[in-house]
Amino acid sequence: MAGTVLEGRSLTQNARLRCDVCIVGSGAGGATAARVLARAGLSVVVLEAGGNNRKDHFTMQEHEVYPLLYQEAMRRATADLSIGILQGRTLGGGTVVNWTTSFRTPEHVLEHWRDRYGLTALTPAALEPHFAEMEGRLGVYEVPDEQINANNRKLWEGAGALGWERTRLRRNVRGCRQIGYCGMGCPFDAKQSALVTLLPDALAAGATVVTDCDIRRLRLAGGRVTAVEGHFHHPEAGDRGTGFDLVVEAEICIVAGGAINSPALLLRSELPDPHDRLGRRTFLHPVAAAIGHFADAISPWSGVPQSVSCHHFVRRPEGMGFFLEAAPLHPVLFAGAITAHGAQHREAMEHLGHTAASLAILVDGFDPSEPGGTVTLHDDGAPRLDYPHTPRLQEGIRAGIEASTRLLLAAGATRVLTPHEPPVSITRETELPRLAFAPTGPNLVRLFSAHQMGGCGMGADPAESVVNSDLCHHSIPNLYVMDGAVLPTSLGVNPQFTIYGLVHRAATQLALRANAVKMD
Amino acid sequence: MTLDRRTVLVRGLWGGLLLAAGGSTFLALRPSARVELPPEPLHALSPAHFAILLAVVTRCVPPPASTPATCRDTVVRLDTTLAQADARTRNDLLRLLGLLDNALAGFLLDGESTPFSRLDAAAQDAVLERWRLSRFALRRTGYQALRRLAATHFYADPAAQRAIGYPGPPVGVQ
Repeated sequence: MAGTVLEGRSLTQNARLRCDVCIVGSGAGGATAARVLARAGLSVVVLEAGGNNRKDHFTMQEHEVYPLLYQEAMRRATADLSIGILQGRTLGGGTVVNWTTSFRTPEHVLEHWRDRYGLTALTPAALEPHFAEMEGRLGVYEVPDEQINANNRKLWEGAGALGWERTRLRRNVRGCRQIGYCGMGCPFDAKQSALVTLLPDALAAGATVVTDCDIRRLRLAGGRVTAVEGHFHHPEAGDRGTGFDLVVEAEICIVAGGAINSPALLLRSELPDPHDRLGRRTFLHPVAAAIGHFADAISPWSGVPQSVSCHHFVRRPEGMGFFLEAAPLHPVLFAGAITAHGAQHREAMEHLGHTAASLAILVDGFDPSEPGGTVTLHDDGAPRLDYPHTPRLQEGIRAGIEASTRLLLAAGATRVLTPHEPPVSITRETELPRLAFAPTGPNLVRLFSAHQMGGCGMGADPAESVVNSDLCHHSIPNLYVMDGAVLPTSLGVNPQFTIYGLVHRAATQLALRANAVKMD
Repeated sequence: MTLDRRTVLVRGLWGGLLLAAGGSTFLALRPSARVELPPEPLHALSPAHFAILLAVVTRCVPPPASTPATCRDTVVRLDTTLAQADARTRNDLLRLLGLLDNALAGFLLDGESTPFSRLDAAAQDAVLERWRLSRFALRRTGYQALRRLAATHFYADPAAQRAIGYPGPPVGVQ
């Protein structure tokens, strides 16, 4: 029986629902769980804070789509604004707005998790069928050479000239038209986001999806979650409430609101947290971007956004690792990202068509000196994220900016501008030592994050984690967290497929257990 | 101008004297600049806030050559954004604008007793530069908030996008 999509903003009365499984969040984690569990015959309700936005809403106008599709109208950031946070909020979550890069979890990361966090079940062999299933459903392919746009071509050529490791990426798209607007939602439904794949699968299996839900807390009784409570709102209008409430009673609750939101929901619900782990160890893959000006036209807004990467520095013995990727540059995103002021800002904008960007993406969370960020709550219950700029992070940022600068120069840039306040302008390699005198610290180097991880970390030891490797809460047996919040470290690769793989594995096992209980 | 600990302390003491003498009221209440307001009503900004933000946008993101996009239209868009933002975000931004234009705060920290919005362009740039590179993290945060809002709202205007050679979405897609 086909399920339904209810738009909370249109409802004119309070809603009471009952189901086997209530899933809070419809992104990579929530949608995967919904597909698996609905297909297993369980009654599933998926709740999404964002709107029921479809390809007709993806107008490719930044000022129109960012408020529709991103957390806090794309103004989400750490509390001190030192790291801007790009995170999706719409039906399908971050899968609707990501740049489609699809990596499996690196084996050395799984090894670290086994050795450090006791996650012995998460072997490459154990995850293989889950990755394969999701890659098949989501149309993952390796980008052919002819789809590498000028922006990514500079990264490819620069890495090649320097003898650095480089690789072509895999991505989840079918029939890509290469227009370059992935970050604003694909207007052709070519991107194989959850919106056009996993959620339709779940709906076909009978799931109910409710959008425009502001989930405030989980109701607990007898050591179990008994219901999910929230209210309906208008997500595109400052989350103004409609005046109507929602309660979903469920046998099983899956929290999948993404890193930052998931720990915030558990904090608002005042769950037991004897070891103070909720919200801790939030990782961001902090990004420092250098931009290169080229004599030839780049048109960095056009073409496949990410098609190559350079992982040459991902495991640096001398400090925090980083990897390099390109980024699509559209005017609003670019204007807010660069650190120029006044006439220098205007000049940088006027060069946009001849600009390529190299992102140095810092791999946080692997060294004992890295606590990561901490999610707490504002007085109104909204999440607050504080992220420390440790000496190790600052050293990594310096190294990453220098590598990006060298790469862009090697690719033929006539000038490179760094993300410092103010930007350092470098025109030749002999000027690189000037970077040592550039300022460091919060809001003296512009950073952002497109990958949010942690805050409800998984591990074998309840004293240092929130969920186990089955993604089940250590002390509440019918509560699961199935999203990027469970990652105990960052990854060194784009995280969407790690989330798909881990959640597909956990949801498959949960379906077996839940159906066994129903049959008893 | 550098701002060392002694400077802060001395200015703090001097500020205390002013406070005692009632001078603070005079400085704290020095009015913002008056500028021509848009014909349509403002939703979140007061006329003073509008004047302060107009100065911020003009200094942070001067328009590219030969574009009809204006900083005034940018502030109107910002007013709409703020009206739709959650109360905490809106109030934080309005307080930030008030602090930027507060003559007493400017005098105590920088020796500048004229509200930001009433300064000439070079002096406004100097104030923003002090905030941008301040040793006080809160001032750097404030500067970042202002410049990002200014820049993202200015380049939300299709006319500004065309002026820098951005073609916009491919024709005929929707």
